[in-house]
Amino acid sequence: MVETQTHEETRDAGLDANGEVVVRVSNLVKVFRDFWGRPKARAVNDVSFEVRAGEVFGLLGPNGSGKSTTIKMMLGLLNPTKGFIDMFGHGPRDVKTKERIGYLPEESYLYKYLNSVETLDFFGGLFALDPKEKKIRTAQLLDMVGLTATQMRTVGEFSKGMQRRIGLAQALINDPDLVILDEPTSGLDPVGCREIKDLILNLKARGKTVILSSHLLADVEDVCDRAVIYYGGKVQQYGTLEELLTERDTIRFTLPALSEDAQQEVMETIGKHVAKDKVRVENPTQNLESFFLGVVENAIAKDEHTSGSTAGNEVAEFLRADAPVPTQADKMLERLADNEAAKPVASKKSEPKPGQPVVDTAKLDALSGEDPKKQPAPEVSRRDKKPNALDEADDKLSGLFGDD
Amino acid sequence: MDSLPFETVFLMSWVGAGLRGLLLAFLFGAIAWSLANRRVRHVAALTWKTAFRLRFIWVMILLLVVIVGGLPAVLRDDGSAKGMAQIILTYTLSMTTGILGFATLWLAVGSMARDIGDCQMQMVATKPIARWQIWLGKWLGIMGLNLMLLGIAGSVVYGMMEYRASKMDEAQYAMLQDRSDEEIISLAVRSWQQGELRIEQIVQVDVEKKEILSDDQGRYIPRPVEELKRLLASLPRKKLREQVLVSRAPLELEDVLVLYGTNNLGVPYRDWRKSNREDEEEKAAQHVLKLMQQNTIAQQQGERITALPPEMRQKIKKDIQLQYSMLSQMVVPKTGRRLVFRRPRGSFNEDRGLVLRFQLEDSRMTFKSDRKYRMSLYYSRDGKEQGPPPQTRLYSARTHIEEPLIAVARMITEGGVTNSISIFGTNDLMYVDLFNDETPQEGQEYMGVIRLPFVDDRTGDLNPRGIEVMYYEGGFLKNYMRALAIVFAWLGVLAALGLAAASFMSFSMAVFACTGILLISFCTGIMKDVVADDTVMQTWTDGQRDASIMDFFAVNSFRLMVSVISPVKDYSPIEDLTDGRAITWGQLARAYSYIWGLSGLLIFAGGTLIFTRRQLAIIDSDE
Repeated sequence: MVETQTHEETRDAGLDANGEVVVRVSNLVKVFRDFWGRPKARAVNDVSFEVRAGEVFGLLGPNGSGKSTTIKMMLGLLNPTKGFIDMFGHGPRDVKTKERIGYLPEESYLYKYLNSVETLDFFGGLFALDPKEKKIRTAQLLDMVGLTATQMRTVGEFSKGMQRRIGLAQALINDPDLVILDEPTSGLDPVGCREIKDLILNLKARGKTVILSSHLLADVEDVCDRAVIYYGGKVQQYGTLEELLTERDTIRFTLPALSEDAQQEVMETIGKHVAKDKVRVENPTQNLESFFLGVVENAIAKDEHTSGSTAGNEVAEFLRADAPVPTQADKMLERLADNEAAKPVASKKSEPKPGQPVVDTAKLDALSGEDPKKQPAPEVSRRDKKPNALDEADDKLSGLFGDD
Repeated sequence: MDSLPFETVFLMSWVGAGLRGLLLAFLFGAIAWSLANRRVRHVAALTWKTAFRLRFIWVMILLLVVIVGGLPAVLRDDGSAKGMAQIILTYTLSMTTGILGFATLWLAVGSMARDIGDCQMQMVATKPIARWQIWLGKWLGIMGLNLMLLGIAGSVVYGMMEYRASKMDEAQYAMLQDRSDEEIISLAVRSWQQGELRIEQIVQVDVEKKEILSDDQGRYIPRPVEELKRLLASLPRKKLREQVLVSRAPLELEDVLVLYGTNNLGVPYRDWRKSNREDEEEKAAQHVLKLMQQNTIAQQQGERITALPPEMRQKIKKDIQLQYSMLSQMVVPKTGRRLVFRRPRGSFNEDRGLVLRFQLEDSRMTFKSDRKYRMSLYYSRDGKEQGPPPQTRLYSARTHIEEPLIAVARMITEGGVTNSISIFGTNDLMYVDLFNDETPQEGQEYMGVIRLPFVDDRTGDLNPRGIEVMYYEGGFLKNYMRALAIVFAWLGVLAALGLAAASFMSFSMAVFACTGILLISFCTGIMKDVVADDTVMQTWTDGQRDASIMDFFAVNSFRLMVSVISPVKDYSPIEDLTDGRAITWGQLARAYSYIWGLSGLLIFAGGTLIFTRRQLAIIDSDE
């Protein structure tokens, strides 16, 4: 945001920093009607949830369950039949609200005759960005989504995956406080999927709020803090992933490989407490995503050529957690001054995986006193660790200024 | 309006003008603000980009160049320079307006409906830009394209006119080369008779003695034939410059008086019409009432009619009005009409003179086109002797006649001081007398009555375009630019109409609806007839027009449509341009206030309201 903050924006920013609710959906109902006004379908039925500042919030559900309809109502593209939506303290159609939102729709709704640069220039223009700033951001975003080499090709010539990438870039052109991503990984290759997930985590690390709609459970599981699960237009489940996924009556040990004797010994000990048919011993396998990313990483290392989008690109500088952007730092300082006890953790990191883009979270890791190599699986880390709020704030602040 | 007092009508017209002015100021203010808004500019720029990328603009440029450049080559005019210019201007500008109008509608509907149908609008609407700004941005983009296309087409037409005008002398001279010397002299004399040349231009004159030179046989000595050829060759261009490629504004017609002799005046038309009409109306009403009272059926039924029904009285009034309108324009032999014109409010170039422009009609139903009608013309500053001597001329009926009038006489006194006498007297009025000099043969059918159409037959008021005295207001280019500006205003309404329709309809439906509206707007004649007749029925029973149950709905809705469409339709600049008539700044402002300030703003308000309320994520099935 290059424009000077108004009093109202500053106040709103303060609320966010306190981990306040940025999106409140209350008793939302959407009924689609036919020409004669007769109800055709009840797409959303009495849905209520809240999204807090700085969290990654998932909208999960099968096709046609009402996720996209909810998002479109949140964006003012559909009118609720009943209920209430509050976005940053305003209605969904408020222009001031839209300045803080980035939106990636489920399909590529871009102008096919514009090339990548023109697309970003147009959408950047709608945010009234300073032309110089717009140019810098455009270059960084194109680099981030791997379309720098194809920037003069029109969007109509792009593959679906490339269109998703440019769509993502336009959603981030304004450095939004709230990013709404509708099926963001649809049409993307595994590298792209991983990059999107890393980007989401990076945005989260910068205190941004992300609403992610998906029916791909792995996507949601990898990045979301909390989620609602839709079915038939209704919210079936709502809470943190930990609450939703933890099996309280089961535990799992993960150990380095043991000798047969040692295994026998352990099994005997366990056998004293649990029936043998309830215990399962196996070698963990690498998942296909990790394997695929490893292959691509090797190809990049060998400098293989591609005419499509490139992989392994850096997150745009203005979006990075360690970006030296004074305006953001000022904004963050202001937020911190309001004692952000419930602020989401800035130092939470993604699991380092093969093929991962060079997201420089090392500084944050170092500042938080944790060794990324020794750190357990990120899901556990994110859910279990409840860091001190002041430490978090220090981490974030240091990250913003780039101090090691 | 006839029944309202003058003060009320005057006040209403000023209030109306003020309101339109305010609307226009608001509209231009909004446009200026929008152009300064970065977001709106981006939407406008995208519309431009769309037109270029989808090759719309290239097709339009090609089409316009073919039409504007190629059409005049295949058109046949009457052979005169004026005819040629009028054909070029009328056809090329009409075609340009038509093509641009249709293209504007198409582009506006396509731009909006396509964005909504292909869901790109969802992306735009989720950005921090108000819906009405998106709408306005698109409108500005389309109007920017129109400005460019109109500029290109207008420049080509203007360039072509100027080129042809500049080549006219050579072409005419080449045509005269085949003529014999006698024919050339004869042509020169005819031009002098028609007032196109002065006598000293065609015959040799002793300047010192101020005498025309004669030969031994007493005949005037013509100027050298080659000189006459050049002079004659220059006449069409001169006429073109004076009558078509010029901007002439009419003087205000104050009143018309009946002339029974040179100075024997009747009552001014306005007073005459009012007094006579009211008398006759009353007489006619009493007569009809008497007839009705004598009606046997009414007597049998025991009904005694004491007053005429209001609608019948209204009809009588209308008939009387029509009769007086017709009667007042009939000029019998040895009588005439005196037309009183007022000096223009601002300054004007008196040295360029004035032009009397009128046409006359034979009072009979049929007439012969080769027949000439003798009339005499006299004009003065006081209605008496202060003016040039009367001129007697033979005129053709149903053709536009133009007579040059002197606006100022300059005389150098013995002391060397120049005295100027204007044709406008101290009361700022000038008088033009048109006298019927026909002499009907006794016993013949033709009575020598000439019709001078200075009354609007529909309203009975003086028709400002019936008989005009025009003054030089400016050059053709200025007038041409103002005509294009009015065309531009029209395109603005069409763009708004297209955007408004596509704001809630699919592309195909919006195009259909807009075309329908345009067709209806071209049919105001039928609607006017229905409003005038007060019924849609065209059949009669017992001398009375039949009524229909549809009348209430149809007549009132037609009345509303006519009242909205008619004032807007009245601003058609092409006819004025080809007549060399000035489209004044005032007219331009009025045209914009009606076209943009009234209809444009209404469409804009409706369109943006619909678009703002529309659920953009719901797409019509046929999109």
